[in-house]
Amino acid sequence: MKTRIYSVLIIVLLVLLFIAIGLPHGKDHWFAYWFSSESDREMQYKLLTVFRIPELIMAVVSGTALAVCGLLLQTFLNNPLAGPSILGLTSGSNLLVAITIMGGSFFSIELSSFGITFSAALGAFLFGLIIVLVAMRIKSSVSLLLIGLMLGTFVTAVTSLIITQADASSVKRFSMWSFGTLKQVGLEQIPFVLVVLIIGLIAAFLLTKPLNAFVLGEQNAALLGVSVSRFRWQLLLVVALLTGLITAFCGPIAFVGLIVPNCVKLLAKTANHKHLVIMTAIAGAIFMLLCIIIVRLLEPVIVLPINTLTSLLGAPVVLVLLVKKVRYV
Amino acid sequence: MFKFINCEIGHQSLLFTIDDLALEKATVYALFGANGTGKSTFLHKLALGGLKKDTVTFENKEWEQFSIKERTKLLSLIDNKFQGQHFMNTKEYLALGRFPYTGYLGSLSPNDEKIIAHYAEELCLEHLFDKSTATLSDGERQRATIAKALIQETPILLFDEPTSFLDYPTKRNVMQMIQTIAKKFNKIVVIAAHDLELCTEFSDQILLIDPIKKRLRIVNEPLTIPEIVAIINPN
Repeated sequence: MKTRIYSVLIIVLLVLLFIAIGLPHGKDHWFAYWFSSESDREMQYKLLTVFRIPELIMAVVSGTALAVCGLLLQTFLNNPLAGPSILGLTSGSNLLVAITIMGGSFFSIELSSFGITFSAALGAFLFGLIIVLVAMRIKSSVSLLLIGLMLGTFVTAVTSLIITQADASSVKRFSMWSFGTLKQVGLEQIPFVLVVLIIGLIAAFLLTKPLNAFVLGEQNAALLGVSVSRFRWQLLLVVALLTGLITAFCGPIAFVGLIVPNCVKLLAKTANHKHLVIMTAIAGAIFMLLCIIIVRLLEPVIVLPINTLTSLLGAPVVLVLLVKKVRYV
Repeated sequence: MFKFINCEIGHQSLLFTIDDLALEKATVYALFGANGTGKSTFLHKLALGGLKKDTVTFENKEWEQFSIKERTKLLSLIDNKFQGQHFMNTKEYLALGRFPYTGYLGSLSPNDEKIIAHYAEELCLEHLFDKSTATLSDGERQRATIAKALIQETPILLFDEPTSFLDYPTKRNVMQMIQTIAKKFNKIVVIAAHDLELCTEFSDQILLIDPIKKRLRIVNEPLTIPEIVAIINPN
């Protein structure tokens, strides 16, 4: 059963990767690079390495990271509606990145990608901390969601306030970033992103045992011998690192962390997080690849930012879950 | 033997004291007390820590000296808070009983599998292995909860209102099962419940929380139900 799900997921992932690599730019034909004429070759090579491959890698990385974060938060808070964007973690990253970019231009400091990743992760961590502190007192999952949304709205307002005070160049830099895009990452930044992703995924995998106990709720996990407070910090660090990484490089991408784990749980019907983490990681990559393929196919008609598409797909899923779940919360 | 001497139970304020109590193996104790007198608090503090030192000993070792990990191999608390998760099947739920024994990644050894299979057979749960815990009936889920505690292989089992969601015949079955388990596997069993008739019938000894003297009373003489009610609910 599980081998079948794994093989289906991997085959779908490979097929989508293949399709995504081959998708034509504008009026080109499919797999233009391999069939291009001598004169055209250099241009096609540039298209492939500067735009296509980094975008594909970032799609896989962001889908994987956000989906795993969503799974971790959902299990930890015992709430199927949790996710890094809906709980305000992404907005936290947003705020800190805005402060960093504006502050950087104010003090005329050159910002490295490491610096932005760090401030984004710090933002996600701080806001994750607020959510965890609130969750310790408020058990209703809908209330927690509302608090996350309010926090997000508030922070977005503060961020806009900061932007009105900033100079033109940093405003441009920040608003480019906040649309949410997979296209801003160059090939030279990919190794850094991959290293952070792998560290985050390994750390998430090491948390699978306590996560399994947390399916029964926090108290039952404690009764089985999980040190709840230590686990809380570990989980928060992993989630902040992964959310911060993606938010720093791709801007806010909503709902991936919410939809993907729920679909995987429905499909796999297992609560063993050793399987769930891996399956969610693959499914997250599939979801984001699907999104960029849809965006590319719609390009002749309408240019859709990736964040808009994930929200278009995600919001209905939240509504369905809320309507189905409302009896229990 | 699980011994309590001059043990005080409570958070900031005192709920009740235990002067001298020794819980023996292969015995079922029924713990009665009105709401808010400290039944659940008592069971949870035993499981999660927070009792005063020197007052509780297990096999002549101070209870608070055991680490949380060691304690999860000695004591399991069974409540009815878990209502099932649609994506968790019964087998995975039972496997969590081996949690204190598995390694860093929680993989089950062949011995763990054997223990799970053994107790699942004992409580007739094998046919439910692939069923989601959310679709089990309340009776089946209570049986699974008890099986999980047995799989944890602890000498002490604490039940916090094990029968509150069940219909009458199922209640009797569960109580009968708990009594059989205590004798067969040589366990110290404490049941905190409001179901006076049923628990009196299936327990060996009755413990009452006296809310006026704030003391735990060990009943040695046979008491009728109205007499018990008069002690735990004096008003």
